[in-house]
Amino acid sequence: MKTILIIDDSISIRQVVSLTLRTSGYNVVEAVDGHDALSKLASVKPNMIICDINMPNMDGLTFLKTIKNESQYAEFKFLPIVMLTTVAEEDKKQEGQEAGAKAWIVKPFQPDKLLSAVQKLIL
Amino acid sequence: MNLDSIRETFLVESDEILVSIEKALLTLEENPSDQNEINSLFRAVHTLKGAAGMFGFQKTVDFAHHLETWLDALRSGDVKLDSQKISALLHAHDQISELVNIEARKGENVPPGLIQNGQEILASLTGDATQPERNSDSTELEEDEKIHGIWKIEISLKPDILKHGLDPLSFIRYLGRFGEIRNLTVDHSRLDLDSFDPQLCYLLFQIDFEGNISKSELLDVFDFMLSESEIKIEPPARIIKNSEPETSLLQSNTKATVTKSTGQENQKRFIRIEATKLDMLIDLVGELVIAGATIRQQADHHKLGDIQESAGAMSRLIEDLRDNVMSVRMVQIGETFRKFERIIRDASKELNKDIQMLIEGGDTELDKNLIENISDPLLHLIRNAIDHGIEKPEQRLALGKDSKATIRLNAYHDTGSIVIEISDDGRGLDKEKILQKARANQLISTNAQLTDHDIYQLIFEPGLSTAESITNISGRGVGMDVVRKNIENMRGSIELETTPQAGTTFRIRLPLTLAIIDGFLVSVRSNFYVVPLDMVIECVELSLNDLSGGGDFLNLRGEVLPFLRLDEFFAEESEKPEKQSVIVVKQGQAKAGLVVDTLEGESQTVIKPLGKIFDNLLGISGATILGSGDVALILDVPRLIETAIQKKSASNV
Amino acid sequence: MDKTKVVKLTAVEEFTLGNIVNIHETLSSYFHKKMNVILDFSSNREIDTSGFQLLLYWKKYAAAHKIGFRIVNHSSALLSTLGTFGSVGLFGDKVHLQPGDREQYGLNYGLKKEVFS
Repeated sequence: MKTILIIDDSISIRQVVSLTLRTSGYNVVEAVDGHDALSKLASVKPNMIICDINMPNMDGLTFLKTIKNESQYAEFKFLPIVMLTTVAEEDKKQEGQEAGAKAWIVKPFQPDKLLSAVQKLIL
Repeated sequence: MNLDSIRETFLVESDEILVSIEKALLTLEENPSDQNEINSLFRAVHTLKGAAGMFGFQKTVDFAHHLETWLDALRSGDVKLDSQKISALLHAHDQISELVNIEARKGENVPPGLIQNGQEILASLTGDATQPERNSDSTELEEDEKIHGIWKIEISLKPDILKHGLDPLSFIRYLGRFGEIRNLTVDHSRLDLDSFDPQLCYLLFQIDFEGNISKSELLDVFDFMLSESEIKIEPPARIIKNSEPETSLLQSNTKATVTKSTGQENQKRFIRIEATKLDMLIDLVGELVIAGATIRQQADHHKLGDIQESAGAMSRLIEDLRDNVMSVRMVQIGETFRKFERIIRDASKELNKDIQMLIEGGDTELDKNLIENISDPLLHLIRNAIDHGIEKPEQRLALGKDSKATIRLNAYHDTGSIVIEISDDGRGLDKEKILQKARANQLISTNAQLTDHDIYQLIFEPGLSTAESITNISGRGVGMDVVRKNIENMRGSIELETTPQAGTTFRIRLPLTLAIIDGFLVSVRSNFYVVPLDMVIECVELSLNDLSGGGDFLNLRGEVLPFLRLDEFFAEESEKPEKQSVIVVKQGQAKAGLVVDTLEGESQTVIKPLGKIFDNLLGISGATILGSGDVALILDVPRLIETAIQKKSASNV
Repeated sequence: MDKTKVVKLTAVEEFTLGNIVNIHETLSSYFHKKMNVILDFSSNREIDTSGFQLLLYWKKYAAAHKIGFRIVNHSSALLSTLGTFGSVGLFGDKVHLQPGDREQYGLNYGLKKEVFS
């Protein structure tokens, strides 16, 4: 079973994502921000990460750059990552794409769209 | 909570919004300047747009967006309402309802025709369709148009794609969910033996993909990959629409003419025809079928080789013509189904019942005349279900059922028939009550022993209504017997299944079309009969001895098959021939054999209704004229099967 | 094929991008010594596009240098990937198919043997 790590500070977003993916046969682990996610990576060993941009403590872009660039996370360097964004964050999208995140979903998203994004990346 | 329940929430919300839109419009019809209602109309459309957006019902959003723009202008007084605009807005209401129904309830793609319809409604609101917008819309139509066939997809990957967490393998597997990958070629010519970095990607793929899909849907499959690869999509080869050159010619004209030409183009796509003209055309095609058969028979008879060949070619053309003309009369049943939606809503309010309606197979097509004739019987069955079948919410809860009841309408094709099902999850039929009533009305004797099936069939008898209280909705005694008669008049049949406390299903079976059938011609002594071909399973030749064994059934490869001798049934008196044949026919689950003298082969048959005198003729449903000029009677197969089965069970006792 | 210089290697569980550089280095060390390689996929659980491409590279390399390179004991992950990419025939290895495998792994195309040019 494939494991997906969802990083978002909003509990309702995490729940919708978890529900959507669990009912489709994925294992889902939740993290509340970038720090929390980094500390869970080694034990969770996700096959994919879904990450919000705007979060307290460590935001999504910092998290993204950390796992792409720091040697201690080399194992996770090439994981598929889906970034969650709002329309207002266009500039961050640019920055994120340059850092290597190619899959973006604009909030508010519908569950089907998230599921199809996940399936495109790890089917 | 699950995905469906989230969608369900939207459906409930959009239903409420649609009701409020309708209400606002009806008020505005009385008083077009009521600013409050204009505001609430605007808010309703806006809310619906937002909710639909959250769920990604894009066509609903698109239409609501344009409508919202116009309503905003209305709100600020830039445009005024008149009766014409009100009726356009009512159409817009129906359009939204339809879009929600297709996108949200059925989860299907919106057909281009409906999108076009939306554009026409918006155009009639704004009074002009501006050129640039039309242009972009028409290209969008092109991209959104589903085409079935083999799509050629060429994917050239950028070297870094893998490092970005995108695995082409996964995308190609995902593509496989939308159709079938017929072939895939890996082009590895860029894979150089001397300079290779295993983290980079050097591959190109050529995919032959078969599916019913649009270009934009295909692009959507690969959307995250688009920045990391070059993707070429070549749609399946197909016939180019012949209206295209004209369109481009018109585009070079001035704006005013273009707007006008838009109207002309629409007229080209949809023509309204008087139904009688269509009927006349079908009648003529029917005659042509017979005339064609005559020529063919004459040519065969006189052994005119050249003419036989030409006559054969002509017959094929006539067949094509027939199929085409018949398809003009085919209409989707969904419209009819949806008409019941409001009826159910209104009726359930009146009776304080909570009922939802589910539609399946709305795109099943059937003959226009059938649709017109089936509407009333369906309505009756639905009203019955609402009134008698479905319990009050409190009762349902007490029985441990969901307080919301469901009425399900379903249509599908089954062995040459159309089947329409009306099911409810109500209390089911009350066997005892039916029996009491039937005894009271002397439909059966007091001590008759009946199977459950027989008892339930009694409700189709005249003068049997089981409702204890007569309400507005149904139960006035004109009942199921009329329903059955109407359906039988269409050469159809009705049966029912019921489970106490779990609900009732009525199953109506109708022929595909009323006018022309492919038939199998048989003869009994000097008379010809036609059996509808789609009911024929097989033909078996038997000598007299095979049949004279015992009883009224024969052993067909170990299966007990009831049979009916047509010569006896139609009281032919001359002597039986040496050999006879059995033609095995089927209707639904029931099978029977019909014993005939000679099998004459397949023939196309135009049904001519029999005159009034023949109304009570058992076993015959119509007549036709053969190529030779002889008259053949069309057998009422369901009735004959029933008779054969009854005879068999009678002889078993 | 010189029978004396054959090495049998076992493919790792995850024949994927994360490990691909290591796998490539290991394979290189044998191929560059002109060893014939038999690669056993029985314990493999996952193979992605990078893994597929690596196998394709060494198939091509082996053909060009007349070295033997066989894949044996195809895992279901490998069969599925080869099936999707229509490359069973391109690789040319003997595959033991159980009844029903063709459907399960979508081996509907690309079964005709091809030769690297």
